Amino acid sequence: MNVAIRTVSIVSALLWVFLIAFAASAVFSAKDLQVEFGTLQTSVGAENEVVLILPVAIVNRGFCTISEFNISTEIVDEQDLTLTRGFTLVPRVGTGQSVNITHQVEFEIDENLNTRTHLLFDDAELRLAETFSMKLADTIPVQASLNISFPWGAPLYNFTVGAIRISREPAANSGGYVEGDVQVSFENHAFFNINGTLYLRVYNDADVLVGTGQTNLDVPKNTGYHEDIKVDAWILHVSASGHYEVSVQTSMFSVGPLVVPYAS
Amino acid sequence: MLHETKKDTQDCYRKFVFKAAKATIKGSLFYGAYFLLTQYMAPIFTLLPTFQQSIETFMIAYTVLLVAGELTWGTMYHHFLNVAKALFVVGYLILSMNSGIIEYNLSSIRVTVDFRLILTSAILLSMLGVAKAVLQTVSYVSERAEPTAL
Repeated sequence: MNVAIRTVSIVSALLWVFLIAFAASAVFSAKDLQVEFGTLQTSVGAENEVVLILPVAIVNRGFCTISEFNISTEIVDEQDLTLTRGFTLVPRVGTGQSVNITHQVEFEIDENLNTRTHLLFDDAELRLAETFSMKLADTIPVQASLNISFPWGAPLYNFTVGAIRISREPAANSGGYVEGDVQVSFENHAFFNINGTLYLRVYNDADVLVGTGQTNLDVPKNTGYHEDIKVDAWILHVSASGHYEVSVQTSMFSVGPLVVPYAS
Repeated sequence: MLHETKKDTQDCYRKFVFKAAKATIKGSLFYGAYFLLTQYMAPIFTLLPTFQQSIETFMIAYTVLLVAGELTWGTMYHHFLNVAKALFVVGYLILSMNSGIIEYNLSSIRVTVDFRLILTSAILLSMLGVAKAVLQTVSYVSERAEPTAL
């Protein structure tokens, strides 16, 4: 029995030494790992999507190999709904190696504004969740996560459409059509300029089309828009209340028709 | 007769002094190893002060059990303390290591290190230590129970 006990003692001691040395060297390898981030750049892609570009340099001066190095970015709104996510995986960074990568995340403005219309009209606080994960020596998973809040400016903030105003009686040969004005106002709080067209369809309280109008939009970021849109309206169908169908088509997004009620 | 009793008492003192010296040397070596390790692990301790506190508690309890075990060497208590020491290591690893996942905050960055594989290996090795201590106890008891020829 003494031989068995001695054998167990020796094996146990050797395994403890190996385990402690392995764990300590893996942890100290992490100390010698350098991850450097470049300046965050933004660009507009071919389909008008915003692309966030983050250059990353990984330098492994430790004793252990780094595997499954993953950078993951997720942008969520105030209701914790994911607007976009993207990840970049580096399968392996050997000892003494350095790797340069570019982490890219695409943000589809058009798609997001169509599915989450509150981002179109209301400013919000978006959250960027950044996660870096890796495996030290193929055995010890390490993860670092960071949350950054950033403001989202609505492109059509405080969007209001006034009631249709008919200024004069129809001319004799106009077939009952008159020129009306509809006041449209909003503030562009977005980080991009709005260049495009606003289409307006006016319906009366019986859902009958009264008239249509359109105007070109050229609203730089952080500026307001207050204009009267000319509408050709059929005088017989004009009522004190009803609704508008508003469509906005710009180079960055297209939304509509949005139903906006009116009452004079 | 009186001479023999005096000799027994002297032997008893000598044995105790030897055990105490052995316990002191073992305890000092163990603490010395810990001291060297703390110098090496100082950057980690600055990041995780609770980890240092936890390791210090472990070291105190383990050193007490180690010294007590050495002082009771040659008796049944030595084996009890050996088993207790091995079980203490298992219990400490399970309770203090938070299931092997260590989390800490570096200003706004949350860092998570998953030591589950290392912890599982350490617990298995500790169980080997328990098995060894039990084997030593069985061996001691069986040696004591062996019939002596008249």
